[in-house]
Amino acid sequence: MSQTWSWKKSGIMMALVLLAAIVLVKPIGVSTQYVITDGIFWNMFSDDLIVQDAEQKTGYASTNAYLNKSGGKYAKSVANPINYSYIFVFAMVLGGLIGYFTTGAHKQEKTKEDEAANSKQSYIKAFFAGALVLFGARLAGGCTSGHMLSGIMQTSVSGFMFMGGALVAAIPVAMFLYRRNNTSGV
Amino acid sequence: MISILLAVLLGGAFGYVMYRSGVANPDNIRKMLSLQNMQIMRVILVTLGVALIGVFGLSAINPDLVNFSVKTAYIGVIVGGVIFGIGFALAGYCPGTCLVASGAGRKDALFFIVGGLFGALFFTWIYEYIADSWLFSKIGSGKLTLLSTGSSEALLSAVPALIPGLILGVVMIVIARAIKEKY
Repeated sequence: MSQTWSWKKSGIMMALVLLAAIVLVKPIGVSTQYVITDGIFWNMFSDDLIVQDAEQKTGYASTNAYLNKSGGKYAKSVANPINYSYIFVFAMVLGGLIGYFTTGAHKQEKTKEDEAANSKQSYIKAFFAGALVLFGARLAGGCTSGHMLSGIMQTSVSGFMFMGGALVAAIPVAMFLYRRNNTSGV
Repeated sequence: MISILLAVLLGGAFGYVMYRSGVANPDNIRKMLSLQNMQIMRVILVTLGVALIGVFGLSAINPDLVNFSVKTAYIGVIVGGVIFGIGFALAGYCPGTCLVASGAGRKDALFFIVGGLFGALFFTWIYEYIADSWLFSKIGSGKLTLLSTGSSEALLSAVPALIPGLILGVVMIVIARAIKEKY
């Protein structure tokens, strides 16, 4: 992977993006947008999930307690998904795509690890891992970007708590699964 | 309109930098979490170090420059962190890196995203039953930080944030330098 930047360059560039975001808009966060996406799908099959409500701080209310929280903040985003935070996560996909094609990675031969990632077993594992990760992130109120990066750069206690909890669980699991002889996890 | 443009530019840059840093490759994450290759840990530490120096340097110049937004500290942050950590170790993806990896054509990332949508939906459903439980008991006043930010309760409120902020940032960079890549 010769197109991967050094740790120094990577860290500096990542920090510059985080700083640009907190100065120009607000700290970066991602995991909330999974809830917004769920809300958009759910709302397609429901007539009363999201309603306009002048009593609420945001002007929107929901029959679901989570979407209705904080004055209907999430309900409003579900009703108006063309907003900064939602577009941001789609732009991240685009950023990955641009990186992939401009570095020529798409022309490279697949490695053994890539092959292992393209199996039914790996897909099933990714699905369940994704469910755990997003359930945990919503319970915690944020994920790697919101708690670990944006949180710790503001010295938030919640950021250190999240990082502590995540590493205490992740390191033993990873040691058990990958330490012996493979890293592909199959 | 400006905010949408910023979303495209900042989100695009965030995704591109994640890709080039190697954090969107789950094999690198697994190697870090099993303590076999520390490249990503060094990236994270330098990121935090430079970001801390930037945040507290800029807010010392002018407090209005930085839009602080501190998340509440409650018991569920740790419990959620643990559940997150198990999935993180299993797949090597987090909610952001899987998006970048899907853009880079990885199919396992798509399965992770769909799983994530179900996990988040399940939480959305059960929230009303756990909202009043101990999981959401705040720690202290909730919006806690180590250093003064102007929008949180600082544990070290007696000292100006600039000097300890810079020191914390430098310490993280020094640790990143000291860590060996391979163990």
